[in-house]
Amino acid sequence: MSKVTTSSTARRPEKRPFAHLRGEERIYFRAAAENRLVFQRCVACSAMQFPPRSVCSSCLGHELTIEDAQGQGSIYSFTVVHRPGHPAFRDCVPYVVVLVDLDEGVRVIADLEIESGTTPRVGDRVEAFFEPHDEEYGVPRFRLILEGRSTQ
Amino acid sequence: MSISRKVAIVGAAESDVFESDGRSPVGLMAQAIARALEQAGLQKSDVDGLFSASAYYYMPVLNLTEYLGIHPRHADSSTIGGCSFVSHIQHAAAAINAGLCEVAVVAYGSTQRTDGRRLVSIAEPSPYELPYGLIYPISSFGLIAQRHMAQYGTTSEQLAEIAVAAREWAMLNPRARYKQPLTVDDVLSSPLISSPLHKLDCCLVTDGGGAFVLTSSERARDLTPKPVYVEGTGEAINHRYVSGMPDLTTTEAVHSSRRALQMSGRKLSEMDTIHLYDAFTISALIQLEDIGFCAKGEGGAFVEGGRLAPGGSLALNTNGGGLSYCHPGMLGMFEVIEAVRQLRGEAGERQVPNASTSLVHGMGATLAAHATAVLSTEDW
Ligand SMILES: [Zn+2]
Repeated sequence: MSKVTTSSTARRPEKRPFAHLRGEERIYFRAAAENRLVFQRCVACSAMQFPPRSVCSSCLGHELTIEDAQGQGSIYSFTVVHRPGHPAFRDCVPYVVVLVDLDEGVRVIADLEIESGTTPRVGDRVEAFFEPHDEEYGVPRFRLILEGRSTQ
Repeated sequence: MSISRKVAIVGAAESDVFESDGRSPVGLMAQAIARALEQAGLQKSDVDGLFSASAYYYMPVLNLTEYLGIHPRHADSSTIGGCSFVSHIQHAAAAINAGLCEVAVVAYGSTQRTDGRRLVSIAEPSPYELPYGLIYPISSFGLIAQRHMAQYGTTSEQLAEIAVAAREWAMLNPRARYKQPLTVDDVLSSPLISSPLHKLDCCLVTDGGGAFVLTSSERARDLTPKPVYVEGTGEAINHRYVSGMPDLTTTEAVHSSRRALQMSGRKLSEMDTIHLYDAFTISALIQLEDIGFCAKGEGGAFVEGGRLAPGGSLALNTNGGGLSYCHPGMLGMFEVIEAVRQLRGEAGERQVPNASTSLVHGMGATLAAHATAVLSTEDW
């Protein structure tokens, strides 16, 4: 396991806003409840995709498998949010939203747990962890992997 | 069969803007439609094609027909975000050219400022983004700007130049509210909202409405001494949410603008005025690159030194744009109206001398949808 930041991180909301999930939208968040970060792969053309779809967005193939990502990747972009984007985040600013390019080759969106006052950089290495949402769903989040910090 | 030069804009008018003075969104649309038809010398009974998009009304064309007592035989409420009205030019040109209608009205109205001085948030957030507290749409553009900075070295100072130039244009517009000049330091010292974007990297939140009227080029010549011909149009769309945006720094504006220019048979260098969608400084910068005013990644250097301000080499957003004039949520309508004003020589102190050809480019959502139009008063 990589060493991760744990101290004096920004507060997170007690209850996150969460959509009424339908159909394939449940796949990603159900897997997160089992501490798994998943994406889809097309049997016909091997294309990977996030989020899960009913067909392959490369070839419209119907046969898709769910694969587990290792959970590591690098920051493609980020934004430090200084005003709450939702009432649930009223006491949480500033907080960091990240787009992460997973090492497997798909891009996901999440937030970054980071020490207060610290700003990440594009290219920084991150790894996923999971926060329970309710009995059925979990929410993937990321932390910096300190050893792997990019020099970019 | 091309739609190039087959139709022309014969009337274009704004409602009261900034504050709605007690009018509803559909009330603002109606006010603007009445003004635009009056300009064209047309009656409401002449209107047989109706186009609208709205964040207020699920089926805005229906609201309008009831409100105004009009009975169109062709209607189109297609919505691709704030550029919908630019895309409606293409739809209306096709409909008129196919004989589906003769007089098409495109309309918009919004009371976003009166409603609470914040952008009306999208009604359908992505399930994959919702748990993380993004500010819509600012955080999406924060992600886009941060990536552009990391990839190309673009700076906050360069982005601020776009807001500074917009304010200089607004100071020449008697209808603009903010008349004090802006400096790069003012932009950088305004509060960070969603990094790297500051408050003054973001558009105003205003009320406003507008409408324009299109008819066949043949009929247009009988109605007005200066028809604004639709020479070329293009659309291109590739995603819905920033989390699904394939590339945060290059957009489909590349394709919509090429399609419009190719249809018009013109080069970018022939454009006398340029109207881009400046909901954010970064959105304008990426459009400048994608449309081809400079190479990809060189937008930061391109906007330096007042190039976009009055007296600069590019007459961009001459009304002050969304950044400093008017942004009720969907900006495309106001881009079209300002282009028409310039092309008719009615832009007063900010008039670009002898402007005869303009490029209007709108985006929808997070640089997701793109629509471009080339407009000209030149006969052929
Ligand atoms: Zn496939």
